[in-house]
Amino acid sequence: MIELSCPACGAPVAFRSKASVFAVCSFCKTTVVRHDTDLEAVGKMAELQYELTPFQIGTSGVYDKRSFQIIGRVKVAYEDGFWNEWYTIFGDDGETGWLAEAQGFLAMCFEINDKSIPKIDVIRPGSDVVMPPHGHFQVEDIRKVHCIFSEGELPVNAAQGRRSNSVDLVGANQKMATIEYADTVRAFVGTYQDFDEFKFENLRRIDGW
Amino acid sequence: MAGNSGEARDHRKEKPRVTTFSCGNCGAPVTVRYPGHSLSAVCDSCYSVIDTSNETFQVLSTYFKKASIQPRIDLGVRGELMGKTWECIGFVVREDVASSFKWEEYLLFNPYYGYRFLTCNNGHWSFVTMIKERPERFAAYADFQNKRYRLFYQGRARVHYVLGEFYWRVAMGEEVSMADYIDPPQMVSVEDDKDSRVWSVSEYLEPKVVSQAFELTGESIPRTIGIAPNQPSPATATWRKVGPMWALFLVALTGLQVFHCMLAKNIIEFRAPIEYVTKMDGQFATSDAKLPEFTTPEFVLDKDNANVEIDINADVDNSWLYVYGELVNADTEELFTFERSIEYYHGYEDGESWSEGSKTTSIFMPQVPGGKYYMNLDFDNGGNSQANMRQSFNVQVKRDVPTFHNYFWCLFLISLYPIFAWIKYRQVEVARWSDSDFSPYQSSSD
Repeated sequence: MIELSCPACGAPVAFRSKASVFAVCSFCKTTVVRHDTDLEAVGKMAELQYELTPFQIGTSGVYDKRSFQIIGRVKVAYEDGFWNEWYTIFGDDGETGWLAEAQGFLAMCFEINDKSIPKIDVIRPGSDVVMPPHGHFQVEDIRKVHCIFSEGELPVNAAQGRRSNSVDLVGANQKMATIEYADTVRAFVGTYQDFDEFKFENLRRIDGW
Repeated sequence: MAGNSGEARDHRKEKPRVTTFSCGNCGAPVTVRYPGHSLSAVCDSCYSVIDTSNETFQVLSTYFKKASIQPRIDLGVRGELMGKTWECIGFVVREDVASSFKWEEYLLFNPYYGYRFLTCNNGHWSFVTMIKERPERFAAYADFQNKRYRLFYQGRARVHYVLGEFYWRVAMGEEVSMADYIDPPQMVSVEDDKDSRVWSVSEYLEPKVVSQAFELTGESIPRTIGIAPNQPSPATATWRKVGPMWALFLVALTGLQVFHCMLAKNIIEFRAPIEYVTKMDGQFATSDAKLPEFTTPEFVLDKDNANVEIDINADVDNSWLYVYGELVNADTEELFTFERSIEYYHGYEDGESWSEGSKTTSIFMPQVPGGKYYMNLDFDNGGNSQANMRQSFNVQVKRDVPTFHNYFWCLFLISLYPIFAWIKYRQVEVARWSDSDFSPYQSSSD
């Protein structure tokens, strides 16, 4: 972990993952981009109006018998709702993953390096996409999304308003995949899991619950 | 942990902060418990659907005022089901487009666990969880997690009435095509609208579970009608257990019987034709009447306490033969007596041939001690077409013959309960499927 100073307020900004290039200062909400050991202030993150997630930076859990901790988050909105992508780091080897949270469904997924991902204009809901060695996936939906909030540290520039196309896919045995079409194409493969199976700790307190 | 984070708190009493705004259509106050999370809410006064995804609270649709339908579970009420606390935030009445049959759906919410539905169909409750996994669909069934579900319903469902708030933009009159597949107490359902397909699993809940969870009283407690598609039936569960056991017993019993028959020696110990003189008329012997007699030579019945079968075969033809016999143990004088009439009549009357009686008879003696035996036979006859003809009948004594008596009795006794269980099971299943167009108990829909 390295700790750098916020260029705006001087507060420490922690980077636990080497892959992180973007962060939001937890004190002054300045968004910063990391150039090696220098931080460049690029903007401010506006507060979220409604918040009802059980997770927060620092929430820990278990996936595939390995414990992880949440270190960042991107919240994206689309026409019919929103979802959260929580950036997680696994304690033992520093591997990072994403905990996707949408309408009570939770999935942990990891970026895969697959050059054969089809272009967005050739896929439709119901299309079959093969991602070896993970198997067959069916396209569930294709959505235009934009980032409405981000916090913590992230491996991508997640400024408010950042636009992308997001494709959700489902496979057999609770498998899932998601493809993000932005300036670059990134694909993730993972598994749906029930809330209780993650054995979460340090959850956010939700008013009234 | 989640759902009851921190110290034990009573979720039924604790209420979240709510947001209230004025309905853009009628101006009445509308309350939203989970703004931002809920994408739409219905105005209690004018039934307008309002977009609650942001603070502009735009009216999505207005609707003519309907006669209000009272939800059984009030909006905002919390209850514990399946080990978690749920808040009822939305109420939908949907109807089958073809039949107008209506059922109720309650949207449940827990910020940790997301959304569930509680459906009330003919007074029967089910707890519905949306799933991401896609069951494999076939014409008459669907496979999900190594179980086969039978198609029960296929049709279109229309939103008839809405109250509360929803995580999608709800619209009255909206239609989806639906199919339900059952394997009680579960049901898997698929809903298709123009751009999405949603699968869910429903679990049957006993009425009192829901009444207790949401403290329903009086009119709110529905009266159950019939048997729900996914209602577990004790009779079915019993039959599922008894049926295979029965089959197993039948196979085992039959195997035993085959084994028993193979072991039976089935030896003919004595066999002889016995002559008699025919009579045209005659009467059954009275005690003082003197009958023709025959005493057989001695023969040996080996093996202790095996059975004996005596077969008599007479060529009677519209006549009768009467035999009184004694099987006598030559050493102990123990007697085994029998008495039989052999009659066979036949003819042709009104264009039909008929027959009655039989030319053979068998006498079965279950336990006869081993030893030397002979047989005394008295016999009489009558009804023959000619008198004073020489005729004969055959007598044979068989030792250790295979028997089916015990087998059939066991079969009967073993089958009594399974047949009863099957009848009960069938009654329930016929009733369950009576509401379905896909009943396996009817040849076609009527």
